[in-house]
Amino acid sequence: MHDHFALALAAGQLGTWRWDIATGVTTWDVALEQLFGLEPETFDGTMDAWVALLHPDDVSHVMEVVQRATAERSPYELEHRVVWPDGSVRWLYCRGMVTLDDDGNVTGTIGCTGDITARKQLELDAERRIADAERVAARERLHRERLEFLDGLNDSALSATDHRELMRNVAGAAVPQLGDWCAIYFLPEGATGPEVEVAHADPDKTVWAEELLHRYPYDSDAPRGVPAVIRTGQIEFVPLISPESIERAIAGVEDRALAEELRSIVNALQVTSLITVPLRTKRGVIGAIRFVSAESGRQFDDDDVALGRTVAGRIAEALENTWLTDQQRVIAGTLQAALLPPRLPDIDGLSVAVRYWAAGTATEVGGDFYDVFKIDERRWAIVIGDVCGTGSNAAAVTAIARHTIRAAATHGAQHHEVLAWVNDALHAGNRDLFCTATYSTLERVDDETWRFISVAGGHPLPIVVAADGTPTTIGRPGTLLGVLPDIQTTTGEVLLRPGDTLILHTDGVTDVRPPYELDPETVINIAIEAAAGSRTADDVATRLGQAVDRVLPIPDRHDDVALVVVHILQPSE
Amino acid sequence: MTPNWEWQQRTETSSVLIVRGDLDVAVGVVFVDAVDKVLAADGPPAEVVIELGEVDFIDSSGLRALLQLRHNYGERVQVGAISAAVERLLELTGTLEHFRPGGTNPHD
Repeated sequence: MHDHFALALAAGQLGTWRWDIATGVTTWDVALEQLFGLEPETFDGTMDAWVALLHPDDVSHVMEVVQRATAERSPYELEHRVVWPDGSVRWLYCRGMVTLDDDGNVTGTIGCTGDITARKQLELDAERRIADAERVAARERLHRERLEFLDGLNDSALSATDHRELMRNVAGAAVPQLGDWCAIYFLPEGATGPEVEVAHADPDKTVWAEELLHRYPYDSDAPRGVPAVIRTGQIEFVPLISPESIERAIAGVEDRALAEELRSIVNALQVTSLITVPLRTKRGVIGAIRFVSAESGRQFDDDDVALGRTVAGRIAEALENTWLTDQQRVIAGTLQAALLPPRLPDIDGLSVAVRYWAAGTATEVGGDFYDVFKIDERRWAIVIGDVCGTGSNAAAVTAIARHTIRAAATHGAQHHEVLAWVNDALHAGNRDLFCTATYSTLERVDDETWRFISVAGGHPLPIVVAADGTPTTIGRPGTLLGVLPDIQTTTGEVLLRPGDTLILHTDGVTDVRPPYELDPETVINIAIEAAAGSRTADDVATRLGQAVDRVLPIPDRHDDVALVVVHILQPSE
Repeated sequence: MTPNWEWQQRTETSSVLIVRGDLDVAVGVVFVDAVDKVLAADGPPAEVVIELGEVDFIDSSGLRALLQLRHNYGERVQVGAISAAVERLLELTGTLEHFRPGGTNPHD
């Protein structure tokens, strides 16, 4: 039995000990001495010699376990380090038990010990690798979160329809990831003060901040903060706002009551950290974006500053461009409105509707125009035209054409003379632009009958759809206006009765490139369908718009489309 | 369709410009420049005939380019064959006759 035990010990490379309380002597076998790095039979058997061999950091833990086991007379196991005389550190595993005499008194301990350095090393390596992996994962997660955050900001900037919405969206997307608050200041070109949008994760606080902004006007000469960042173009980073820094900031305020109020506001905001980054474009510094850490207690670090700088870099040009687009849209809208009649006249017995679809973006003045006006008590003029090209030159041609027609018509010019006047006016201008137009009149003959007379200059002819669905085009194609010294036109005439529909359109409808097909025949078929069963011009215009949109979707149009529809009402209507 | 044209020497005094595909806002200005260069070169041809028989699409910018060339060079620029698309636009705008030999010069 004893031999078997020795064999097992040898196989497990285990050492054994026996501690005798009575003598205070600990007896180690040679194997245990080896585990402690000692030469055979050099261990002196004292407690002190043993403790001296333990790793200093493990002594208290080892003593505690052993003392508790002795007191409780229970077996114990331990993992601890020892320091060999050559300085190397080894891990040992030991299992001990308390020995008792016949009366149950503790006589000492016995136990065995093995070297677990290799296993322990593997465990430690594994732990370190896990920790490393977690660190890498955390860094990647942070990186990914920042990319997602920036993508979110981009999306919110792109989805904006005007520059104020862009500011609101970006500020809103910045919280709470990059601060509890975000404020964007924008100084439009030529403006005296900034436009500001503030966001907080809590909408109530946003309202409060807006009140504060309203109460304390922007001071462009302020020595620090947003005005200073905009003036100098330098980032302002305050990692930690201390009570002293608040005092320094309000020291310059001469009105003590105001200073007191400011202090209480800052304290209520619990501002802890601030980053203010200039928004820079080709124009220079156009504003600033400010990130504020407050009740979260978070302190910004250099990474946050770098992220703030990236955000500013991404939105600055977008903000400026969106603002420019807004300006152009306002100008274009104003010009367009000036070129089109503000409202259609009410004409007894007629129902009139117009539609105008601008091609592409709304930032250019379109080349199409229309007009409906009274000539005298019995006659009304209807004009529709299309100037080649868009932009300010085209707008000038539109204005010349429209006002020349009004002047000619109200001074008694014949139909062909009206277009000849326009041709002369544009030809004299020699603007290298031309226009096409139809000039038409509706004259009341009696309660039920209207005489329609029309002349076309390079423009699609008016279409009449009779009450019974029969289509006719009125007149013949004539020369476009503004290019040739003389034009040739042919005036057409037709009598209209209740239920008849008159459709005038610009060649945005017919001037369609492949693969779309919108030839004159198709247009006439669409007109017949739209007119069938319609009781008002508005119905016809709506149905025409829908039908054209099916054949040629608005985003694929290269030219504006304008429509004027007149429906002859029943006398009772 | 990508814009595309090709010069051919028909006689000693006449160059032919064959236009294919689209003659629209994207082509108009470049097209005028190309004709300008040929007519401004040393020993220029007496006339340029623009063949439009293979044009699939022409818009008002294309028409403007043709009118501009006719205005600047008069009878030295002639229009040869025309496709259905070109004919439709010239007819609608009353300029078909203008491009025939002996037609009126714009801005006279």
